[in-house]
Amino acid sequence: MLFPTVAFALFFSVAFTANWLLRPHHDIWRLVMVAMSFYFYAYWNSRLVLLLGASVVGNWLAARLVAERRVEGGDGGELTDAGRQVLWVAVAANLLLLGVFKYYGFFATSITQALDTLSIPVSPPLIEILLPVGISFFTFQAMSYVIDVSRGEFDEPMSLLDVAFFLSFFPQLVAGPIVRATDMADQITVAPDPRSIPAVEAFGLIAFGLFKKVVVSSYLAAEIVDPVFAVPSQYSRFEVVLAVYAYAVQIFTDFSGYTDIAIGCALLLGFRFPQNFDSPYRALSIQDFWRRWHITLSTWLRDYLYIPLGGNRKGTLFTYRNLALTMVLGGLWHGAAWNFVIWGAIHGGVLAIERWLSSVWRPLGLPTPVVAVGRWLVTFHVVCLAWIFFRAPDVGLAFDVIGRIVAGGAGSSSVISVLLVVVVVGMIASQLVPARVGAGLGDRFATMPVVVQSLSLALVLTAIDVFGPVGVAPFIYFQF
Amino acid sequence: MPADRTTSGRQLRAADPSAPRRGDVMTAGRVLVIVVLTLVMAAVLNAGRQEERASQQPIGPARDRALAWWGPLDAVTEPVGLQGPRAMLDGLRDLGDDELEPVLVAADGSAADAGSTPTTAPDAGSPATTAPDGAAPVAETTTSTTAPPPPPPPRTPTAEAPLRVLVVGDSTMREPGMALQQVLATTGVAVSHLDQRASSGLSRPDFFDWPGHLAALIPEHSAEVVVIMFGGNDAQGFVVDGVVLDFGTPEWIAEYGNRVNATMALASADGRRVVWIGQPVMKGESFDSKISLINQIYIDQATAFPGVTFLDSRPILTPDGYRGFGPGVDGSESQLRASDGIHLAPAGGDLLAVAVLGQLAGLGYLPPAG
Repeated sequence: MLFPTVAFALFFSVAFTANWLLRPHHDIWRLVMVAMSFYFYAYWNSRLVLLLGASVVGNWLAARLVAERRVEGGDGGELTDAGRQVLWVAVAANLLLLGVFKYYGFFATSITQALDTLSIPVSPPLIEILLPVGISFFTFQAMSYVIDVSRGEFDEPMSLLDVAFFLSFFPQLVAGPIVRATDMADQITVAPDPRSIPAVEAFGLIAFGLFKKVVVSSYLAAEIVDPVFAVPSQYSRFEVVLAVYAYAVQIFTDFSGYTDIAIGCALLLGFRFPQNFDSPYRALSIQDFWRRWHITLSTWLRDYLYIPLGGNRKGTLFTYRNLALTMVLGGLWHGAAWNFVIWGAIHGGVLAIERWLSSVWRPLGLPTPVVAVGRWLVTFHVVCLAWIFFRAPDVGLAFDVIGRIVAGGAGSSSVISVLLVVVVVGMIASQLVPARVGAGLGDRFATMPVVVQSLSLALVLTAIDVFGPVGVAPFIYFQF
Repeated sequence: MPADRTTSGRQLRAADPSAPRRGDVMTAGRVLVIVVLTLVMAAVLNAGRQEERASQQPIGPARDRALAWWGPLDAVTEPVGLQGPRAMLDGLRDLGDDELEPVLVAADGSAADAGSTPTTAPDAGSPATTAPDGAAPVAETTTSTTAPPPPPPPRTPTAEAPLRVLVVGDSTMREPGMALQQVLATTGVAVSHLDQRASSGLSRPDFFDWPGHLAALIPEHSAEVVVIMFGGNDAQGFVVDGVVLDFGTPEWIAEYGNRVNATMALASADGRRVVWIGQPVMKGESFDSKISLINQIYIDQATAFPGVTFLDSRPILTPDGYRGFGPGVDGSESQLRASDGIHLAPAGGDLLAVAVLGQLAGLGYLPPAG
């Protein structure tokens, strides 16, 4: 069930009503909301509900076993050897689930082809596996829960129903944000006041999220990104560069649009999800970029991968290695393809370079604004360079795009229009707009009568439908 | 932990210190009223468009139910001007848009009305459509009496004057279309434009009018070659003159044949070369039997047009029945089909693209590969 559909609007209306009517009845409320979330997931493929169910039961059980194998003591206690073994099994099982459903074909064909070149014929069984939507998201959430229990962050492990609620909660089930159990547990247990729903903020997020996804992202994909990335050699250098910028805007509007809608829906249901984007194209370094882009993934990778690898505690070279490894694995999280590995490697490599530069850099005496503009230009273009690999269907085509930008040449087709340039430049510039502009709109909305509020929202929905394409493409991050 | 503890909306916001703090909280009841009113108002404002969308759904109970809801709402709200805001926004969107007049081109290249079922088509040499098992002809197609002339000999394309190729189809054309664009680009003497539309085909011009769209696209891109792949969404009934034609009935086959015929006439007019790609074997046997019928209609209709070459994708992708994996272009084991058992994976698209390239080279439109 896609967010920008009539089916979801009706589904959400029922879920909203059930949520607030049943909230005083804790057990029934949880049961009904879990059932609704599973129904939401079954809308894509009913058989995959079994997979989600297995993940819920498996991780609930693992967390209980881990919790029972903790010994109490100072600093919240520690895990016994048996507990550590259960933890490793649980993490391995989650990774195996991801591996089978998401990476099996990639690794099987890559290994076969690599061994073929060495004249070593192998024939692993090649099977078509349907990629369950959202598997990367709920598997990461499940792993973080079991690890958090092992770290003593829960006095008591969550009940089966709470784990089911946490992992399947429909606003964030298929494309995040990646919510931690530590963020959700209290929100499930403690009922919010039904008289104090932050609805203006929620409506604003939903409306703006829909606009970004349905209108802006779809427009850029159809008008320039898809055609140019299909055959870059047919377009001029300027058009290819604009297409890369347009993709930077497209993926931001697509993913942050989804996140806005998810956070808005959750707010209306009484839950606050963590922030996932913070004007990422304002970043003045790649490190800064990762504090602003897909924040719930970057913090997950930091807490559950980078720091356990040793972080920056074991010397400079180890720090560089850990950065590179974390980002490459983060790239692979997005998809089973070498493009994503290279995308991650670029980010990891530049993060390491930035760290090195910061240790040797001496100020040149340039004015601060000049330095800031220079840093912004470099950061934005490194991000765009990495996006080329993220978007191109294969590595060869990514190099074709770069080659076209470097070598130039006249194009035989044209996709440029004034509107296109305005949209691309405007959307990038909009990240510099202070948040209080949106707050002002919200304040005016808050003082309107109910009928006018409803009419305003209905007109916004109508405008989005008019200016959106026929049919809505799935969100880019659904495939991850 | 007890379930009756409560926290306020302000506490909710406090969970994220960076969240904007506004005096914007509402009761759940007020939110519900706004949500319901918004949906009702949006339904009223958009009743006409929703009725149109309902009519575009596949023939069946779901479409009937949707029409039963949106039809009366449209009939009530449209005359009193409640859809006016939507109409204004539609007008605003269309400002500056190129008006693409949907026209069909008959076999002789003259324009015909796209709004009606095409009635002018070349003499098929009695290519009455046959059932996929080779049974007797089941229906007569509506054809004209003049066969189209064969296309002129192809010119030699150069980097300065490249061959202009238009690639169109439904979503099954996505992977082969992108792959074809890439292999065409590597020749250095061809440029291409890909236009693939999900959920489209020739069964439901009310959803997307391919003949009308093609009539505008071909001159826009000065296409010399048109590569087409339809059919993935066409195994469904449709309505003609208020009568529902169920999929696979003689009447359906005749009408669909006419549409294919008219599209081939349009695409191959003015000496253009058309490569019409047949659908590959589908994973589901029942679906595949329907697709086989559609492929057979393409084969039959293509015989009437000297400028139309039917490219059978089945021997290329699936010589021994459906398979998800197989040798790719470089001979290495690759995933050829998407996991839905319908669409192609990138390696499958590559195979088909190379086959199209070979076809065009064989016909003299492109220099031989290598």
